[in-house]
Amino acid sequence: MSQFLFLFKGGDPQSRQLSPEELQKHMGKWTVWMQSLTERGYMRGGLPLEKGGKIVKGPERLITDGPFPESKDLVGGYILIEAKDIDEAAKVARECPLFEDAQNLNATNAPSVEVRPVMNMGM
Amino acid sequence: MRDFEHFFRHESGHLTAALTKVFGLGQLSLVEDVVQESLIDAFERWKFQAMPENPSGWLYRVARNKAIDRLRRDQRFAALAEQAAWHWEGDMNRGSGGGGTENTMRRDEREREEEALILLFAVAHPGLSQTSQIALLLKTLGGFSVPEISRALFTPEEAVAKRLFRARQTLKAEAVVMEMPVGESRAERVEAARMALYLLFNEGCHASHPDEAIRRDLCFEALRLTLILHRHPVGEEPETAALIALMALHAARLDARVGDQGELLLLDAQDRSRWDHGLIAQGLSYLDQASENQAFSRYHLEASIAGVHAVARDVASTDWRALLHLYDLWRRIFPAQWRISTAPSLS
Repeated sequence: MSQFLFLFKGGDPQSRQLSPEELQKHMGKWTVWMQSLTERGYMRGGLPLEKGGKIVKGPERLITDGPFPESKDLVGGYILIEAKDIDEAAKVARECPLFEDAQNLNATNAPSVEVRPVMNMGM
Repeated sequence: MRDFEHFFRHESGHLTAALTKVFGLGQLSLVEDVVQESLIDAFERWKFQAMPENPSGWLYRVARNKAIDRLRRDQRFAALAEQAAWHWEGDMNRGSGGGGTENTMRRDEREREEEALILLFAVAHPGLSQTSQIALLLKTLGGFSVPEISRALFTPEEAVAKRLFRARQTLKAEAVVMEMPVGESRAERVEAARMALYLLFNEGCHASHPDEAIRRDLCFEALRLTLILHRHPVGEEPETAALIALMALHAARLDARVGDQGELLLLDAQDRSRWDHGLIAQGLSYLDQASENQAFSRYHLEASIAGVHAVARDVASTDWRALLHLYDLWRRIFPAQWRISTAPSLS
């Protein structure tokens, strides 16, 4: 078994004018999905991230604001899962409700789930 | 926790009412914005982890902080922001239950309902047309979005948005104050609120509406708000009980009105086992309460008519003599409403 990090990008609902009722419905889908990841033994933890923050960059270690909430690459949260291999992990990521949330979005700001294998530290 | 169905929608209404009471109707659109933002924040958080023990308290804290932040950024409203911040700090120190920490802060349900009613009275303003009242009620207390209102009222979105904009402007221009009606104007304003809820309900009962689900939501939202009105001393009157009875008895038949093919069924074609008998019982009990003190209103009449249908096993055993009597009363006492209002009881 290996571990994989899922980075949820984009799909910021602010641009979408969802109604409270629709928000609740989408939240329900996420809850169900997260629950099923736990029940199927994939889930190893995860957290949502606040929008924005600071970026420290370059040899000067310059501190600037960012990333900005408007960015389509903004990471909204992450989870760590355990799966057989990268193919299984990617298959699990396809179930993410993020894609359903975004049905009405156009392709340029479509959300994505980045699936990254955690490096095996075993000797 | 409260019934989770429509939780976001109802919280949206309560937050709007609570913040508008503090910041005034002049800030209504700002309030609506921060409420929406707060719900989105909640969504982003709660999709990842379990909701906090007291989600209402969490939302309330986030929304009011957002409102204060926004107002602080505007010179004109800085004083208002500080005043609100100070007021809330006092709230926290008094520790309204749960030790008063931010996450556990519980708001008294009676207080929440009172705020909702104050907003209801403000929206049921004679300066607003009936359609504007309905739209604004749905937007503020109902937590409906513009697209949802557009579907519910069968009106283009742009027209709904314009109507809402003008309605907010009117309330601002008329300097409508967020307070419970007292004294001479009380009876009149309570009746105006009842009428707005009645119209909201009727909108949901419209026979020729393409979207069954949202129509249902309209009816039950009207019923929910009328129950809140009746729970508070300001609106606890036989007329309000009669209005609840009317709504419950009609709402009980909503599902049975639609046939297998989605077609609309008239009363004689409805499968009466599909009527909601819990709602019917509730309706009849409120009708009973409504007859205290010999009170009488058009709500009594319409509820009584709906009641006669609701207790009949089938069309043949319906007490037509009672119905005839009621319709006759109606025609004589409320001739003006006679024609427009007969439709709901036939379907």
